[in-house]
Amino acid sequence: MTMEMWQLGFHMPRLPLALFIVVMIPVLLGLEYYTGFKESTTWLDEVADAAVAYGVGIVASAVVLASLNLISTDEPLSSVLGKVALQAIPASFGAMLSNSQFGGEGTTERRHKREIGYGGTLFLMTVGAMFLSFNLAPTEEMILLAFRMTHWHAIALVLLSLLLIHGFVYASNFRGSPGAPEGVSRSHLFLHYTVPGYAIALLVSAYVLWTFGRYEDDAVASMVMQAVVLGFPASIGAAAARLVV
Amino acid sequence: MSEEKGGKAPIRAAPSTSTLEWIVAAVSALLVLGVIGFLLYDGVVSPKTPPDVRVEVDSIQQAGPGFLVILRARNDGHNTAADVIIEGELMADSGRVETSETTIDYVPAGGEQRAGLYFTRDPRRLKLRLRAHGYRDP
Repeated sequence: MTMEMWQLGFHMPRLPLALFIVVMIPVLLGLEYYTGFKESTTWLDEVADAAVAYGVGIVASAVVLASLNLISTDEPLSSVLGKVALQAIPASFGAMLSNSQFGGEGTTERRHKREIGYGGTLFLMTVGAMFLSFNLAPTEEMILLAFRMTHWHAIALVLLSLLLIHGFVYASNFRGSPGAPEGVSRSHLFLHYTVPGYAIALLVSAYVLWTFGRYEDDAVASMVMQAVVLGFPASIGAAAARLVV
Repeated sequence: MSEEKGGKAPIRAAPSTSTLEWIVAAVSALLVLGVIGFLLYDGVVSPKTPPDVRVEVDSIQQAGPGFLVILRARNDGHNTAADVIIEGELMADSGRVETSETTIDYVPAGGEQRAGLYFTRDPRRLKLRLRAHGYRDP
C-alpha cells in the first residue's frame, strides 16, 4: 500500500477513474474467458465469475483500507469511494487470478484451459501490462526517472524492453505455446509477438499514466519518456502474462 | 503463417487471421519506430538548455475571506525543474504589502503546471508580481 495509492484516491481526476473501472469489466470477463477451467460454462457463468471477482476486490479493498485507518466516516464520501475504487482494481485482478490458479484443484480432474489463439495472446499481454503498470504508475519514481533520463537513455530502454519481451517470447515458444507454433523463424516471432507486445506495453502505459493524471502538462517529450519508463515494467507484465496464465 | 505450419499443426490460421496478424505487426512496428524516431529527433534538435520557468496569472478569484491567484508556471527550457519555489508579491504605491509563496514539485521541460497563491488583499486592486525563486535538478 504505497502512499500514492491512497492519496490518488481523493485527488486523481474522477472521469478517468470511472472510465478505468468500466474498462476493467471487459478485462475481467476476458481473463475469466481465458483462465477459466470449465469447458462447459455458459457466458452467464463467466459474467457471474467476473462480477464475483470484482465484488471481492471491492469488499477486500474497503476492509483493508478501513483496517489501515485510511478511510473513515468523517471524510467526504467522494474520497472514500475514490480510494476504494482505486484499490479494487488491483484487488480484483488478484481475485480473478487466484481463482484461475487454485479454483480447479477441488474438482477430481483438472479440465483443459481454453485454446489461446493470437487474439488471446495479445489480450493476455494487454492484461499483464495493465496489471504491472497500474501498480507502478502511481509512484512518483516513474515520473522522476523520466525527468532524470535523457533521450538517449530512453532509446536504450526501448531497445532493452524489446530484448526482454523477445527473450520471454522466444523461451515460451519452446514450451509449446499454442500462440507461437514451433518451427517459425525468429524474425516472425519478433514481428508478430515481440513488437506488438511492446506496442501494447507502451499504449497501456500511456493510458494508465493518463488515468492517473500524469499527462496534464502538455510536453509531448515528457509524455513519451514517461510511457517508455513505465513501458519497461509493463513489457515484463505483457511478456510474463502469457507464461503465467 | 499458414504455409510455415505445413500439415503437422492443426489448421488454425485462416487467411483472415494471418492478414490481421500482419496488420497488428505493421501498426505495432509503426508505433515502436515512431517512438524511437521521436526520441532521436527530439534528442538531436532540442539542446539541453537549463530550466526556464516563467510564471503568469491564470485567474484571480475570491476564496473564503481572501483571494486566490491561480497561476501557470511554464518551463521553456529543455530540462525539468524540481521544487520550484514561486513567490507572489502585492505592491501598493507605498511598497510591498503582502507576499505568498508555494512550491511546485516538478515543472517538466516544455510543460506547464498550475498552482495557487492565497492573499488577504484583493490582487486586482494592487500590483501583483509573480516570480520563480529557484529550482533544483530532479
